[in-house]
Amino acid sequence: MKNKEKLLNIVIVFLSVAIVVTAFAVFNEYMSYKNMDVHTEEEFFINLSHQDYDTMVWYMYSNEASGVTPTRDMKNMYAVARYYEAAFLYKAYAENGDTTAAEEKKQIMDEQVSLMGEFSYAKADIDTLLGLVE
Amino acid sequence: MKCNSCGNNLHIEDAVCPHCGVPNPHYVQHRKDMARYKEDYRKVRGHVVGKSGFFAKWTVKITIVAVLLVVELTLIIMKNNAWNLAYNSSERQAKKNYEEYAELLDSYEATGNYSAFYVFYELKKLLFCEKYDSYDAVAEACRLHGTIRYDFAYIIQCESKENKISALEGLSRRISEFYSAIEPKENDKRGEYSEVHMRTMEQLKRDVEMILVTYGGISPEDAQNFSEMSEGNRRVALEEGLGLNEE
Repeated sequence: MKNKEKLLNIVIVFLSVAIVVTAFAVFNEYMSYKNMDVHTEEEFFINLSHQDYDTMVWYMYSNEASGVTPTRDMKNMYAVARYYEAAFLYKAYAENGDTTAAEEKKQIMDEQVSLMGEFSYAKADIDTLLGLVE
Repeated sequence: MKCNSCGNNLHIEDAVCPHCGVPNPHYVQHRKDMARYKEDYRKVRGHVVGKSGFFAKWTVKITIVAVLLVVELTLIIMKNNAWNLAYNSSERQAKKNYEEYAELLDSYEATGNYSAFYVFYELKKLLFCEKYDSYDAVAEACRLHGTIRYDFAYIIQCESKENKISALEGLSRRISEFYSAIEPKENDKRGEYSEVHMRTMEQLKRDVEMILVTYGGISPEDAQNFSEMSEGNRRVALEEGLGLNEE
C-alpha cells in the first residue's frame, strides 16, 4: 500500500511539472505567432547593410501594423525605407511624364532624407542603385 | 437497583452502598464490562477510521491525478492549436475593430500607400473576415504591386545574368497574377468594386506599366499592351528590355 501511495505521489509531481512545461510551451507558441511579424533593429540593420531596402519597406509596415514602438535608430532606418519606396516610384513617374505624381514622391524623399540620421549615407546608395544620380 | 444488604436504592456506578457501606457486587463486573466495551469501541473505531481515512486519501489522490491528466491533455491540445487560437483571436479583433481598421485601410488607399495597405490587411488577418470582403481584391493587387517592385529591385541589384534570368520567371508569373487580380470578376464579390477601389486598381495598373517601362526596359506601347500578352511573351519582352537575351 505504501508503495502504491509513493507511486501516486510521484505521478502527481510528474504531472504537475509536465503541466508547467506544457503551459510554458503553449505560451511560447502563442507569442511566437503574435511576434512573427515583428522585426528587430538588428534585422533592419542587416538589411540596410545588404542594401535590401525593399525588405526594409515590408518590415517597417509589419512593425507599424504590429504596434511596435521603434527605437531612435529604427525610426532613422524607417526613413531610409520610405525614401527608397518613394524614390522607386519617383523615377518611374518622372520618366513616364507623370510630373504631379513624381513631385509628390520627390517631396516624400526630401522629407525622409532629413529623418535618416546617421544612416543618411543610404540616400546616395539608393540613388545610385535606382539610377537617380544626377 | 437495590442493595442486597439494606434494600435501599443503589446505583451501578456506586462501589459501596451509600447507606450501609456494603460493597456493591455489580460494580466490579460493571467496571470490567465498561472497560471491555471501551476497548472494543476503540478498536472498531480505529479500524473504521483507518479504513475510511485510507480510502479518502486514495480517492483524493486519484482525483488529483485525474484532474492533472485532464489539464495536461487540454494543454497539449492547446499547444497543437496555439496558432489557430492566435489566428482566431486576430479574426475576432478584426471584427471588433472594423471601423478603426477600415478607416486606416481607406487612408492608405487614398494616399497611395499600397504596401502599407497590404501589410496591414495581411497581418490583421482580414482576408477571411467577411466584413472586409470589399478590400480583398485591392489587397491582392497591392500585394502583387509590391512584389513586382521587389522583383525588379532584386534584378537591378543582381550581378549574375543567370540569377536575373531565373528571377524573370517569378516576375512574369507575378505580373500575370497582377493583371488577373485587377480585372473585375463577374461571379464573385470582387465583381462589385466601389469607385474608390476602381480608381485604385487603375492607378496600380498605371504604376506597373510605368515600372515596366522604367525598370524593365519595355516600350510604353508594349507596357500598355502587357496585360494582353501571354506569360511567355511577357517574359521574352522583359528579357529583351533588360538585355538578358544578348550573348
